[in-house]
Amino acid sequence: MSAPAAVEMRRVSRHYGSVAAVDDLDLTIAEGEFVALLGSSGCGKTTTLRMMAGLEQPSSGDIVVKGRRVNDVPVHARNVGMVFQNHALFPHRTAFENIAFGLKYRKVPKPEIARRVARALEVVRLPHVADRLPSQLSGGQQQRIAVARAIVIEPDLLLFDEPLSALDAGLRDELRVELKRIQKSLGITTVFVTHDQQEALSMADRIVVMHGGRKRQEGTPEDIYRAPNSEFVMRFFGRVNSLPGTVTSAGGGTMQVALAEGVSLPVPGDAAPGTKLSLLLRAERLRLVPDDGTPALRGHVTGVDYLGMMVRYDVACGGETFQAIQPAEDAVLPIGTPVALSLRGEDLVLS
Amino acid sequence: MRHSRLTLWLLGGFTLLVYAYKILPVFVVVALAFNPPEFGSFPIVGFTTRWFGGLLDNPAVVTAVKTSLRLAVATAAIATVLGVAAAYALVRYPFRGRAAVQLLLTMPILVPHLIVGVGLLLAFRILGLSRSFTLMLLGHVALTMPFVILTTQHRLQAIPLYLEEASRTLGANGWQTFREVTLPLAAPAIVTGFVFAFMSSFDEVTATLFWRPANFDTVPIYVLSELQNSVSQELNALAAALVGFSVGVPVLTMLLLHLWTSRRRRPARAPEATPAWQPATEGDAR
Ligand SMILES: Nc1ncnc2c1ncn2[C@@H]1O[C@H](COP(=O)(O)OP(=O)(O)OP(=O)(O)O)[C@@H](O)[C@H]1O
Ligand SMILES: [Mg+2]
Repeated sequence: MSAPAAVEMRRVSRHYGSVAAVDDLDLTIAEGEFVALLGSSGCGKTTTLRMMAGLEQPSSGDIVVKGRRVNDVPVHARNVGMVFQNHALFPHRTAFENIAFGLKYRKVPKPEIARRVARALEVVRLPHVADRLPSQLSGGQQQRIAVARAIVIEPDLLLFDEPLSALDAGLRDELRVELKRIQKSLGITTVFVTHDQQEALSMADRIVVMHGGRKRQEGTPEDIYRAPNSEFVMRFFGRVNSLPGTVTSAGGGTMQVALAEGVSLPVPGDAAPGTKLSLLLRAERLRLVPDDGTPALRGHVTGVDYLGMMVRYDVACGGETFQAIQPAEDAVLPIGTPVALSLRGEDLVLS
Repeated sequence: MRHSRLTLWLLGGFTLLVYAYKILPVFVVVALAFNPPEFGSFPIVGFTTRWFGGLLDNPAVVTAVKTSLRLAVATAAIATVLGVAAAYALVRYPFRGRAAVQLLLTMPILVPHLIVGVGLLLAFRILGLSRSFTLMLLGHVALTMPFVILTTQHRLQAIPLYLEEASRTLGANGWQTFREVTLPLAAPAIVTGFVFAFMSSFDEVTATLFWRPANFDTVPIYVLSELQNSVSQELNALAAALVGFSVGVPVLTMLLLHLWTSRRRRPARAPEATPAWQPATEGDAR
């Protein structure tokens, strides 16, 4: 038999009055795994995390840590490290005292506290700020100290609630890499709440997409990006075009679908000929090519959004507007340029 | 609305007069207390502290001072412990009937002391209890607890809940969290509440008159009863001392609190000026 999961949520719900903040959630997190809870505002991410920490009680369902039901274990006995959005450092304690806080309650002898705090400061690369108060640290340093405070207790479970969202973009990228490195080197089971899909994709071993208190999909970042199980999940990871089409023939897991202007493509799936479909295509999978006269969807550029590395175009085509994201290696097409749209059948997803 | 120069002068003059009316008698008492002649009267002919020295030789005064201090310290201590507990419950726990409890506990600050005095006395009569130091103490606690509750509550509301939550995730239980996080952060407000409670107990006359056992004098009550005989120089000195104490204690407290909190807030060293996105270690890692 395999070892019990680090954390399991079994059919956990949390109601606030008539609102179900978390609704019948099942979640299993393996030892050492880094899981991102991803979802838009109000979808129940924080509530889920707080229930794991013990700061919130489930209305129903069980929370199981290493095979032991912990619903009734109070927060202070759970051995979780938590990093809050706004660092939550104790303003009247120095960085050293903040980090040592949890060790005091674990009856760690003084010399060992000093040693472990020093090591935690090294891990977050701030060995020189031990004597400073939080108000004497920059935002990024504060958040690192908060991380050090959470990891120094060697928690069974490390919880992050949008720890980077209060930081500016450059710092966010740097800390993102750093957190990932720390998590991997210490091997702490980690749950990371975010509403930023980039963060989830780049950091997590596994992503759980939530919506309305429920789990919509879970899988590796690649799985979720490549094979979203719904339009909702697909739209969460970027801009999506929707194209109408009609099945003309089908068989063997592939069907021929006719789009507008005489374009016909093989698309994975099975539906009876004559069925009308709505197909989804990511903006970054739609390519703008010069019009060479072969059958193609045609249109003209109506909007340009220059992003540096990328350019996002709006293209009017028939009665619709499609979005296409292109690498900015070529010259930017001006508004009004006639273009043909190139797409591949295997990139199309049935909605 | 625009005021003419004349109305402004009149308004200013009137305001000054009102303040003079209220404060001048205090200065008169203080000035006379240092005047050598036996009978407190003008003109001021010299300077002496002998009337103050005489106070210490008067056993009645010494007893009254001891009583007042004992009462005020006990009152402030009890009011602070209960008041802080009540404030914490009122801020952190959304229990049923919270608004009613809040009103009930802070009401004594709004009700005239005469009414509180008579009311509590009647209540104890009905219960068959006689006047005692304990009764007086209970009354003073009820009168002064609102100061502690209000100052502490105000401060607690400004302490973010997530600090206490962080403390609990780190392994501190409810009490340890209160002691290690909440209490130190609320300390200046609690000290202020304590001093408020102490001073208002020390100065209280109206309700105390109803509650005190026979021949049981606090300083203000001693002054009041002596006034019925005559205005002596000794009484002037005592009154002046009272004024000094009543002004001095709060002012001193505020000064000390200011020193304490500003020392805690002032950076010992300036925070790093390097752009935040640079790796924070380079250069000054020791
Ligand atoms: N203490 C509370 N009382 C009442 N409703 C609450 C409470 N906490 C959360 N909710 C509700 O539960 C739902 C989920 O809230 P939660 O904080 O878990 O969302 P979230 O996914 O963390 O959102 P965000 O990204 O904005 O932080 C929301 O509809 C919220 O209004
Ligand atoms: Mg949240």
